[in-house]
Amino acid sequence: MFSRILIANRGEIALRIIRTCKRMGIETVVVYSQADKDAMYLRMADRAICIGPPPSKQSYLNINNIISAAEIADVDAIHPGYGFLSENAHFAEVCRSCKIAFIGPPTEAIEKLGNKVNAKAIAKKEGVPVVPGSDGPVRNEDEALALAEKWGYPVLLKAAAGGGGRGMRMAHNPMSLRAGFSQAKNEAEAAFGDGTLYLEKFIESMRHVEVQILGDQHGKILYLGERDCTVQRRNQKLIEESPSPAIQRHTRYDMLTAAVRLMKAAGYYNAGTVEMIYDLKTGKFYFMEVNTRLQVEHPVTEMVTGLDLVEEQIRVAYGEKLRWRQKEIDNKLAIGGHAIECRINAEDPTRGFAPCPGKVTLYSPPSGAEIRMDSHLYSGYSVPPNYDSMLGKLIVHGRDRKEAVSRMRNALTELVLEGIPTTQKFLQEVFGHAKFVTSNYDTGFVATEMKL
Amino acid sequence: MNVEHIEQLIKLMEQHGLAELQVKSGDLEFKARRAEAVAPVVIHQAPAPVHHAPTPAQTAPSAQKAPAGGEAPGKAAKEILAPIVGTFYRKPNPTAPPYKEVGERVEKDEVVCIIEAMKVMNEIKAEHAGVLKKFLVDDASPVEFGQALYLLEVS
Repeated sequence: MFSRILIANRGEIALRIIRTCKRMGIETVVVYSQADKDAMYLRMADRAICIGPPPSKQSYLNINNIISAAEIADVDAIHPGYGFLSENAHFAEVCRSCKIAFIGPPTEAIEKLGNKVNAKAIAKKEGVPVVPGSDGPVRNEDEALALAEKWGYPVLLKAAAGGGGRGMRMAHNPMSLRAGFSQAKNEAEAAFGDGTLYLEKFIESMRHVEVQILGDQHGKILYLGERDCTVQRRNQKLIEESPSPAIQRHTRYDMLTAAVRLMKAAGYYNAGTVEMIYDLKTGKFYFMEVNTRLQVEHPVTEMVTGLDLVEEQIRVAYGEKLRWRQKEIDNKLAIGGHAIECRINAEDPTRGFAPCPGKVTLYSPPSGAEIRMDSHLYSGYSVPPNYDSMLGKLIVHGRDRKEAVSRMRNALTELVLEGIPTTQKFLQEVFGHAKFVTSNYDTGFVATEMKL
Repeated sequence: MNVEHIEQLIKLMEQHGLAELQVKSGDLEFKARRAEAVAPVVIHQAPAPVHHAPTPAQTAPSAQKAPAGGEAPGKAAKEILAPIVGTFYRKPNPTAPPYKEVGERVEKDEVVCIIEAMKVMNEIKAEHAGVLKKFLVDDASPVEFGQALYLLEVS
């Protein structure tokens, strides 16, 4: 097994990876920017190396400094976490050429699936249903308009190199499509360095359901169940749960196996997630995109299957074979109960969820059986303004959804977080909302039901 | 020895700025030490031990952190920090002599050391001119971003 791993990330996920490495007896080296020099989790690692000033570009995205740190610390592998360099094919390639194992999928798979247009093509080829959309990029407004005429409005303009819900524009009629086209193109150019757009039919009432995939370097690929991430705000996930309360049994099976088929065709291994759209009107599902990394909401799957996904990632990267057959995972899922996660962000819901960096004067997480709080917070911690606003994730498990919802409601009440505005109260309201409790909602839930 | 004597001894300490005082009288012993030993503060121009006459422009600011080595500081010594992560070398290659020695003058843009990162030798050039007072890392040791490499007495 690897003797030493470098964690090229920060905050709660860095702490999460350190914990698993320690349990496995693997030495940990964590990198940090000057903005994170006082973070408590740095002490949990065997060694911490400063790799740059606060801006991400000069620190957590600085491949040279990160690889240098890996070399001077003499590590065997790098875990990129999520975000930052986790889906950067170039970074994965640099690791490989420096003889450092990249704990993630192969470079080729990252490249193939990272391009949304390309990923859809692979899905189609494997008989995985895709959202009616342009066969490749739309080059100009006229092309877009012609397609929209064919499927009907509303339609969605998306950045081919985009992700995380960014670089998207909806259009309800030819006029807004025309106007939105150049806007979306410029936005995509600025955010992802690539202005290529493609067009999709917008499904009006849908749920976001994703499949957790785990593959090894010996060709085996398994599904570890699905997660329903329908409660979103501006296409950013707020709440995730497993299993999905909305889909039927046979649809679930089709979805899970379709995801495996797709990943196999892409030559995938390690952890990844296949995101789908579930059309509530028709009961059909469509492939949306693949995230070639560990996701923020992976603990939901961990609580339901009993697996440690970071451990599995490390084992796969080392070359080990997956230790289960799909049947055994099915059995785990059958008795897995229900898990829900809430993302706690340093944002003010009364001011359009504006990010609010500042000092957390008092932090006291909820605890007790079936409660898991993944966070790097501590009383007195100053949230730096340079990175995302996520403070932590609160995950609960229950025998069924009713129990999980009830447990989460209580856990949110137990959580103490003072000093900065957070989304805690907002989440409490969601968990008190009848539609959420009865799982009667779609992706429009936050926008239409939560008065903001 | 009585209380008055002790008070006098303490006054003596204060008057002369003593950190520690020990007095023995017969079989009675008095020992006193200030709670906080005052750190040496570089205030003004001491007679320069350096080989060239300092120009007025480089007068040290009123309080300066003492150099890591604990030497008696003369003028302001600036810590030069690593701009990247890598391995620090004082020589261009193992057989060559070091770029600079302690005590030598360094001009702006002169190469003082190398930080090797991913097989690339990055020359670290001086951003200010001055005298190299002390190296703070050993040759061929790893350095992280922002780590102090050497002390430069800016002049």
